[in-house]
Amino acid sequence: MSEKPVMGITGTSRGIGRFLAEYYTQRDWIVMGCSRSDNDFVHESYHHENINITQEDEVIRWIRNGYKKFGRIDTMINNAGTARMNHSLLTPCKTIDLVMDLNVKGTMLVCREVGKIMIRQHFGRIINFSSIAVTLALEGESVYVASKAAIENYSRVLARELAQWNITVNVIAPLPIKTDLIKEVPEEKLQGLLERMVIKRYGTFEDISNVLNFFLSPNSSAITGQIITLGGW
Amino acid sequence: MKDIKKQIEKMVIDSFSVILEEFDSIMPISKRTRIYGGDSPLDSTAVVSMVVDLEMKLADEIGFLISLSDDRAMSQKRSPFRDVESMVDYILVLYQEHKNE
Repeated sequence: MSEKPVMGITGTSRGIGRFLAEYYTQRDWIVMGCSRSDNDFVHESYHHENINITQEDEVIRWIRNGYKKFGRIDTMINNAGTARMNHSLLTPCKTIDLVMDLNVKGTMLVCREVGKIMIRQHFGRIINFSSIAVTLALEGESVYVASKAAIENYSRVLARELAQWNITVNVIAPLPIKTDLIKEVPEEKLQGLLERMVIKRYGTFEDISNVLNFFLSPNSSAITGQIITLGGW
Repeated sequence: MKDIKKQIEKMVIDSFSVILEEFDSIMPISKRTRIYGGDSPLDSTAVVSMVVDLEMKLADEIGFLISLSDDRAMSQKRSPFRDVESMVDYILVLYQEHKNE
């Protein structure tokens, strides 16, 4: 069994996921990353697999192989996700399927499989990603907001179901960060969004790692089912 | 075919025994022993633990990666979680399908 703690991160090919893979490998974690596309990040503690988390068999294989290889999975960060901008009444069916599949089904499949490992270990930390768009009920992102709202409530239920095995489940809801996720959003819309937030600025990767470190702290064993929204309520 | 059925049956019984021990419940296990419902001492949480243990055994011992919370498992008239025999039969069907893929 690995002496170092092991963390799974989904969606590590770019953006927040890539940052987190680099950040935690530099802090003595073994990181099991995954994404649909290739990842050119190279580090002795980083182990990548190309999988699609909406495919049940691929998720099962990724998690079980990781557990077999390292003998433990302490933490799972469900970062992978996608966003599409459409007025509710002009949202194509394919867009609904795409967003719900990745953001909801993919996250649930990973939680289900890693939860099984964590039950065996009698320990685990699961962190799921929501968005400040949920708090703001952001116009033009109805499917994305609905998918993330689903994750918030799913995480609360999961927190209750897994608590007896010393597993915590929490949610981070980031403010807008300049990544591919929002590259298609017009600047004026982003400015309007910032105006509605309590903290009126773009987020940074370090805003994310700060909250994750809080959830991961050994002192946070009583913190579960919580949603921390960056940018303020 | 007989060998693999025996292997699967042993894994089911082993996983069942481990969970029963955790419940301080010692009882003889036969093909007809109820896993869930009826006179089984296991609650739904214990069944979850048993399923997790069994899935790991299937992966480790015969290289069969499977989620037993398959849609069919949840919709069958005779639940695979009912007794040892139904669980073994259900896994055997999934295993044969997997082999034929």
